[in-house]
Amino acid sequence: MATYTIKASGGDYSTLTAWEAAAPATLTDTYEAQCFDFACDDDVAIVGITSSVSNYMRIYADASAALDGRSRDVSGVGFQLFRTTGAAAGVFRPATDYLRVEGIEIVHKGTAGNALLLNPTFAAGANDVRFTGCIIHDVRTGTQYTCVLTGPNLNLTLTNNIIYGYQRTWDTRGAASVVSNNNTIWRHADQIGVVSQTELVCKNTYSGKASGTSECFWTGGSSPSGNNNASSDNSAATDYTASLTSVAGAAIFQSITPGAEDFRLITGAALIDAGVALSVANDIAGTTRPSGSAWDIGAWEFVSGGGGGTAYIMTAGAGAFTLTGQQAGLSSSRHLPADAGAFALAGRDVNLLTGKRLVADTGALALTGQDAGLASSRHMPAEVGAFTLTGKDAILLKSRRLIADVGGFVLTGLPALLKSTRRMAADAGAFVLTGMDATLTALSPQAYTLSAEVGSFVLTGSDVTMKKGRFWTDIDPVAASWADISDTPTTWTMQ
Amino acid sequence: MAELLIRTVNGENARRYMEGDVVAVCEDGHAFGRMESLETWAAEGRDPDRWPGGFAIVRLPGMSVDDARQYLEEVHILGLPANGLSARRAYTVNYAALERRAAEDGRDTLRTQKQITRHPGDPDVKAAFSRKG
Repeated sequence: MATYTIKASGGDYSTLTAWEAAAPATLTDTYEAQCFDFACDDDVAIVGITSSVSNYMRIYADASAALDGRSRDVSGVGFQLFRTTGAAAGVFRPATDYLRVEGIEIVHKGTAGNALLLNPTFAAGANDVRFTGCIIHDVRTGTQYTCVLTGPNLNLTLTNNIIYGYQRTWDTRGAASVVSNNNTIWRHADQIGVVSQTELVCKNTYSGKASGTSECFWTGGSSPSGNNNASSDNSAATDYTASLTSVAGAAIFQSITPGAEDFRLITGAALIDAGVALSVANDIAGTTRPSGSAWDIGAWEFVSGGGGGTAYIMTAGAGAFTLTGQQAGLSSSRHLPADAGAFALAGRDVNLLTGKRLVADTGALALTGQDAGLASSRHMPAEVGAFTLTGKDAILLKSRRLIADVGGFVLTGLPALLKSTRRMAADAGAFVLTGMDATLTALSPQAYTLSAEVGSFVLTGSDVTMKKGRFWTDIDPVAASWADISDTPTTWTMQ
Repeated sequence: MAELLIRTVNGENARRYMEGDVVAVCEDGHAFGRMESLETWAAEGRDPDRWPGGFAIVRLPGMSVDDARQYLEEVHILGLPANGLSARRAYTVNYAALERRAAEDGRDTLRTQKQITRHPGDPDVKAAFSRKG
């Protein structure tokens, strides 16, 4: 397996086009692009590459670029392949027989060309193209298609994708077989959505539009296979069994406002638990299906709350753990231990609740999110490594501790604080508090402590102070840069 | 200023990029990856002689990205189905000649560093870009 990183900087390639250009003409192994979090101004054709069942091309999002069901333009996170001008032939134009595209966003922001063009002639009976967990959209108006999926002989599987725009969504007529499982389709304008005939097998797929009479599912009078679909008009029930009709987008999605689309389901949405069980385990955000009594329709599986009280353990001798999804959490008595590697919790609410622990002998621990916090009695100990708290409020609350034998501590945020009885202790390393208010505060002399046997302390911010009762301890105070500290018995202030 | 990523080796079939094809056009200051830029590769402490590469960077101060994207035009390949994927660049850069001229006048960064900066009006550049026959 040859895996190359696609990054805005510091990667193997900065565009998918260059990655594709460097690919061997005949694959003898899987050839992968691991895409990181950035908007990539590029349009890509994959041509002249011979792939096979076991030697296929794969383009996928790194965990740090995981889509949460929204465009990068809305959420600020994800790998977005886009073009604003040019790309009249389409932003993404793959023409290799075995291809998997997972978790990236493809968007044409110009007024000519498709977002996705899959219309070359594929090898008869010997191709397998999969799009999973992608967001595909454009802004062009008219009767053209966001996705042209008409390649002769094409065997295509679309799973957990969100596809939207103003024009028609997709046309699969001409392909050999197309499977649509749990896709969400939306049109802001009065245009046809899914255009297909008998090549399409469609399940758990929603197709809707803002208004008008154009059909959400158009099959030209043919009899396609499929069930448990839904539409904002009555076409889902016309073409498929066990399907829902008259499901308005405004009643089920977070937002259908152009430019602020959010197709995550809201509480009570008709698509919740209305699907049929399929073989794909997760939704577009990595949430395990089903979260309720049955599968939801569409790319997003609604999660109403946290888990139960059972103790779960994730243990690894070496490596990394990643929890990503709607709710990335460790509930009561869960712990993540590792001998070496990294822990990452990423999601809408990133918390360690009571009694939770993140433990590593070596490596890094990171909490990143809107509220990145360690609540009561949580602790992050590591023998070697770094701790990082990053978020809107990066705070260590009462009785929280960050402890490391060697390494660095970092608190970064709007208020970067250590409050009463908080402690950051390390045998060696560095402490850093960075923020608008980077302070150590206390009402009693014993309360706040930054201590290290060896290392350095840094306070940076618009108000950088050590107030009454604060003190520095160091095994070699002479070596420390304390000249700038006004050394009165009760107040030390760094200017 | 546009920065052009040029393929410097021939592809293995008619549908792959050929020597002289412009692979990508990027904005000034674009951070090329280590597999695209020998400079980036070497800056990370890697042996330049082991760079897999196959690319060079031609910087054209004064040429906008939109103008430079003309070199990304694709044309249909005769004999292949015209169903959306012609995928051969219409323009080519005579990379070898540009490299040779750069070496002759002492500005051989193209050969040694796989990158060069030239004004779009430079005769060498004008001579190097041409539409394929």
